[in-house]
Amino acid sequence: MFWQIFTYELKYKFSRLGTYIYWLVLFLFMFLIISALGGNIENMSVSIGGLGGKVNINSPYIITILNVSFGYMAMILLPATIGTSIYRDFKNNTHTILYSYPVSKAGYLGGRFLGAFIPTMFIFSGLILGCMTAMQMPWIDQDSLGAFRLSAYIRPFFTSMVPNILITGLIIFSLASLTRELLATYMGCILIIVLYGIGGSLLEGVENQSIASLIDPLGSSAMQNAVEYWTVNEKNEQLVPLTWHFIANRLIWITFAGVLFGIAFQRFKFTQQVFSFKIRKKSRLLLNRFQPVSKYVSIQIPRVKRNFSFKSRLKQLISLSNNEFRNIIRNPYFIAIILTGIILLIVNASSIGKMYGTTTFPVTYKVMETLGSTFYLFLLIIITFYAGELVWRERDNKTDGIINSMPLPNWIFYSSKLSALMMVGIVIMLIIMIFGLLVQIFNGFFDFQMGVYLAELAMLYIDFILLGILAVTIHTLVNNKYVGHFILVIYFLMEMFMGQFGLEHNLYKFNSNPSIMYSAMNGYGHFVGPYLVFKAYWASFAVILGILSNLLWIRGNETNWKNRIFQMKQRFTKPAKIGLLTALIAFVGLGGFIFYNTNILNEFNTTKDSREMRAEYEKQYSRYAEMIQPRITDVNVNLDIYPEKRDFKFNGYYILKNKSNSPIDSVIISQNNETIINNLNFNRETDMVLNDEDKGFYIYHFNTPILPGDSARLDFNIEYITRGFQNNGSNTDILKNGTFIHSDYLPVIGYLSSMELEREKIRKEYGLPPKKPIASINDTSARMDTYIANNSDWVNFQTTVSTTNGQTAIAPGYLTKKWEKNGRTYYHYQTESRILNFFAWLSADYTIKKDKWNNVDIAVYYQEEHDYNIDNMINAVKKSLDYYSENFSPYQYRQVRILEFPRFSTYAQAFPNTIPFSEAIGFIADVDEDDINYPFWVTAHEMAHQWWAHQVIGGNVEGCTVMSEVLAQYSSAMVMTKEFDQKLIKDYMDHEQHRYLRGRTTEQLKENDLLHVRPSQSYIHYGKGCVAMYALQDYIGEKRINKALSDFTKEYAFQEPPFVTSVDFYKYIKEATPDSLMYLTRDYFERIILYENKINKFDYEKTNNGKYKVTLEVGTRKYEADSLGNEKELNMNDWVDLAIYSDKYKVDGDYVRDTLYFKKHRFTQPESTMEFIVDKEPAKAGIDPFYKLIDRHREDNYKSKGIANIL
Amino acid sequence: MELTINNLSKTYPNGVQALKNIDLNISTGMFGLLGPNGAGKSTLMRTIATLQEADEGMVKFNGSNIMTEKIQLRKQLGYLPQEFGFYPKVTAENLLNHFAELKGITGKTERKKLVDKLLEQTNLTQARKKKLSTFSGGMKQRFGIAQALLGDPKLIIVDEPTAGLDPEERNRFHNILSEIGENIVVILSTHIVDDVSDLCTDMAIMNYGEILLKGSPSELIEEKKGKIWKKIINKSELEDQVKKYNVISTRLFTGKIIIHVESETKPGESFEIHNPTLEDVYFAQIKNNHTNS
Repeated sequence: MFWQIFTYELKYKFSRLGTYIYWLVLFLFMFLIISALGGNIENMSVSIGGLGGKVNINSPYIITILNVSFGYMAMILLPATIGTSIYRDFKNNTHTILYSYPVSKAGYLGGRFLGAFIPTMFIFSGLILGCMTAMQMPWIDQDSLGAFRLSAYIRPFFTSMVPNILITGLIIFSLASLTRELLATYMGCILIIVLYGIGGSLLEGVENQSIASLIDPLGSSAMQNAVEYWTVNEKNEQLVPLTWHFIANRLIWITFAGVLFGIAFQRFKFTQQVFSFKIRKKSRLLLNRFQPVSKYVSIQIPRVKRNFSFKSRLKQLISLSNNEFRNIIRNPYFIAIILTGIILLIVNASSIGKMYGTTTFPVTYKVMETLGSTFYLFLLIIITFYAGELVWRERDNKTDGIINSMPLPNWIFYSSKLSALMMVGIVIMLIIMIFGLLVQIFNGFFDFQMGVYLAELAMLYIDFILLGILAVTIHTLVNNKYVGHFILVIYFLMEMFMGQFGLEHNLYKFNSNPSIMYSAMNGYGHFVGPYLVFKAYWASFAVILGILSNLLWIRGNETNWKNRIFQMKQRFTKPAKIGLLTALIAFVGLGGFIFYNTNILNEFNTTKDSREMRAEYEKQYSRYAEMIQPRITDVNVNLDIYPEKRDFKFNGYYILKNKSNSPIDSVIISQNNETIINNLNFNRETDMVLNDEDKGFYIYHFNTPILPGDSARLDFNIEYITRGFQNNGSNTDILKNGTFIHSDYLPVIGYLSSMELEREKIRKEYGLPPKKPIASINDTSARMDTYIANNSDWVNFQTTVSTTNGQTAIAPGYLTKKWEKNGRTYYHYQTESRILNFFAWLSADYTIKKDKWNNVDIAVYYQEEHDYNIDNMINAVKKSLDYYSENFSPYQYRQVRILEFPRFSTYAQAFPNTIPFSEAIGFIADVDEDDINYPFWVTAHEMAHQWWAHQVIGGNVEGCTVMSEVLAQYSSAMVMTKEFDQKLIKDYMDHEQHRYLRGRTTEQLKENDLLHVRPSQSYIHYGKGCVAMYALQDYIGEKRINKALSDFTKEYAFQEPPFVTSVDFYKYIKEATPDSLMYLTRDYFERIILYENKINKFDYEKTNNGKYKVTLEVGTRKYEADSLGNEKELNMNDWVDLAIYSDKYKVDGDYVRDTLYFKKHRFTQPESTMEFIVDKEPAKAGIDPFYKLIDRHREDNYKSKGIANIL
Repeated sequence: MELTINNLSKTYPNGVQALKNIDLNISTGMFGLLGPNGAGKSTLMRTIATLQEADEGMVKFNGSNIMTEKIQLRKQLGYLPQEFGFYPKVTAENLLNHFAELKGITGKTERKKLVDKLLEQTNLTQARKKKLSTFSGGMKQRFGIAQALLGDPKLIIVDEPTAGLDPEERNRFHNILSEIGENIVVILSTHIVDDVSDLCTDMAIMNYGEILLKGSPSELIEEKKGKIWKKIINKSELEDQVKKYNVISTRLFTGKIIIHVESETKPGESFEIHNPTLEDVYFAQIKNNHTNS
């Protein structure tokens, strides 16, 4: 029996056109993606995580990631391919006949499942084959192709896709046989995708990787986890490994799905009874039966008035919409989808704004951001399915004949469906809002911003409606529920890639708009206008779609296009014509208005345009890069900021001095393209010999050259004017409140090498050779500049900045004068000593908190309600001043100012005695005692830059950030060590190791050692630098390291060019290092070293004298990697911390452990067994417990006894 | 009040010609459209109910073209499709009320009265609070006719309403139908001859998309008088008899077979004259149509 059913099903599935269409869609989808990723096709470039630089497009890693991830999304096909193989019997009522046949359960269920499973595998092979075929195409960039490896395709197919089809298929099949409902199968699918999502979001935390690996039914988290720290070489060479987690995940979920299938098998009966979610059993009514007709009643129907006025049409519309609405809202699957969404909300609500494991206060915009993005997927799901359900409801219930022949106008059907969807949207918005308020209340946060709630929900709702209209239109047009769902899913996927297919203008992307973002400082600011215009534009398009759907609405039995068009013409009456015309006029009119703003008032540049421009710039002007230029010695700028108009004007001068040995007769000026130059004027006669306004490149020729040692003055008048709005990326430097203008708006002397294209592949497209990322450490001419500003050394700086009354304007320097004129406030700032050519101006309506450290004035300028961490920051300033001035050198200024700026950028930056600090990275942090106090840390880091950048600054060569970022990381870590518990330092090192190890996986060129770090390798100078310096002070001694730093500072602070290099710095560190530890210093600075430290076994027994004998089996391995990640194992001869701890116990409500043993040991073997005697009962042992050595598997550095300790 | 069908043709995209040049004039009263399954009856019904377009031809109701003035017809139409269902979770009363509103009866009290009355007339008063998913086939059909009667229809189309009903329910259903056919046009499409003979004053027989015969049932029966002969035979003789005579129908009777033969004269010794029924008219017509096509 099994065999017949199986083969019948197989034949059936393979005879269906759908099977091949699905295959083809997957094939083409992957073919297109690969072509876009790897090809040099005009206007088509896609990038995904992990690909880039030296990673081959056909590396096992990329093949696996692509196929497997699109495989997850394609799971949405399974209800159609596997669910239907049982559902179609119920749908077509075949079960009434079939179930009376002598069919065995095993034969029926088994045969049907297997008969559907195999064709589904075939469909999914489309992905793999599409991938494989695309790789052979001539347009694939040959340089990014490695050797062909069949196993790279086969393994992901059989370890990921096939098990996933099996797991998902079994679950869906079981649900279909239990419930006999189509939607239940989709629910199963959604639930799996949700668990996959939960796994993904758990994976982001450092702590939850094991749970994440197991919870995700599709095994994605387990796989991601295995390749998390993979370098270029590993990605290119190795197959994605089958880790224990991955295999366990597969086994657990296959077992689960198998058990579910077993239950379904058990409960399945060949009856027409259905397992259903209803509590009451259905009972057929047998009223009035078996009574003979006793009298012939005459039918007398009361005459009624009928009304076909517009008012009664509205009543009918409301009645119909209510009917549809109630049907959706009461649908158990709708409730289930919402509940699933709420579960995901709860999971994500606990990590609102998480940075370094620390959450933020649940301010309204953060809550809405988290909830909105979490629920977005569910909105799409609801739109996709319920648009289908709405369009198909009458036909599904077979009420269509009756309803469609009612005296109702055509528009009422479509309108009622749409209004129902709108009402559903409102319910969802209310749910989100209530949940948001609950999150806030639950966290004891009562500053509800109803305005922000309404605005965020309104935006979400507009998306919901516009996409809803699109979905209803698609379902109406294609008139096939499955195809409709499928097209929508594909649409949502393509939407994510649209930008990369050359369609960057929001005019072409349905429902798109320039980004809009709330900031506590700036509100919604200037984003509102363009947002509304774009939404109105798309809304008028949606009206067109609506009218079209209306005209093509299926009313009756005509489904072929000839008759649909015929009916459409019939329905195209005057109101429809007027409506369509109005919508078209609005659409075209608004589109024109948008175009006028984005492309005429502003410049619209696609990625390609700007690449072309940059390539041209380099080709034409790079020959001037070496031309000797005068250097800026004085900057005197007046800046007028107009926050309301979002304009600003510079008016000032540079003093340029010829510091070279030869006369200079030409000066190059590079201009920031967004500005307008009103006036550029030298105080000597010049000819403009090159004037390229498009690229902002000018050359002035002096009639009398500037002689060596001589100076010239350059006066300039430059402005930035906001005109209309842009397609995207509006300027967030100049805002209504919270302006933050960098000095890079000012004219630059010389050629701007930062304009050059970076990525090798793109450079090749424009015929440019690979770019040298930064000058070599031995390049003395490059060292004439610091790495943050060219053609300038230390400069005298003064500025007068004016802003509108009510705002405070700030720039580096001391306030010498403040006055008001014409409703504007003027501030004059002057430095007392020379500073780097690196400054900024800020203007906002600030609240100010002041404090003092010795004779240093401390002030924090912040947004009024953001007072949570101000004292914390001031404390960090003071502790930093204490530590740095005691250990390195005196503080060179008599003020410190921290200035909050809106969250459109998320960093803090150190200017001389001035620290702009984003509102997103500390001001609303909700720091508990157990959390990493990152507002404190960021403050200490930026304070450290007052020494490590503003006293000592590296020349513009490799390793330059060692003297700034690495030392700032070290300094702040030391301040933190003094301030906080050791456990937090461990967590901090954990995060920094993670930053380093994660960062090196996305390296585009090659991983340098610390000594030669490039400024763009932030993962090295922040992550590795922090761990390295922290470890060195621990091994070598804090005093010795600080002494070295102090000596180094004495030698190099405020030096004239050539500027210092990391090699100069390294001498001081080496000098401080004793011979016995020189290996460690060298490892950290000169090599790429990775450890695999691990406690393999931890046992203990009580000794006779009441002590405890501990036996540890320790694994210690050491590897060296080259710049691409090729590793070789080294012999171990290294010192590593070893620690033994007692069990946890409570002191004053906090859990503590006693450290029973803590000592560095020299390990020489990969495996060693050691014995210790400790006084108390041990519970936990750790090797390198504070993560001072780089280790990819830090979780196995610890081992505990007893279950209580593991949890 | 008159429904005129002129030269109506319809071919489906798969090539099946469901309607071939249909011409019919239907006036007030109950009109029966009789034909076997697949004859094109439902296509015709749906076309009249404005749910389908015809390729050619015209349908007029009281002079107005229903193809172009769909809404005019719909205002006067009560339609009970062959296959239909209802929203399962709604009660009979609520759904009928909802339908009444959709038919333009927007006055609340008036509507309530009408709904109550119709439920009473269709003997569903007791079940009015029950969900439609719990209804038996007969109740569902009665609910179907109740909704068709909403809003004072001038044209009622009932498509195969008695298929699958037990005799008693069918009886009950006939009872309702017989009461409404007085002043309006009622078209009853069916493959059950008794439906027509019980109810209709006028009828047509349809097969392969064509109208084979039109007239009143009694006249049509009259025409066959003296032309139908019957005979009881053994099963083994059947093949032989079919070859020999114009057998229009066969029926089992106590293990033997009764055959009906159409013939102007007595076909043979063993035959006896049969008093024709509408069934004989129907079978004779279908048989002839078969032979001809």
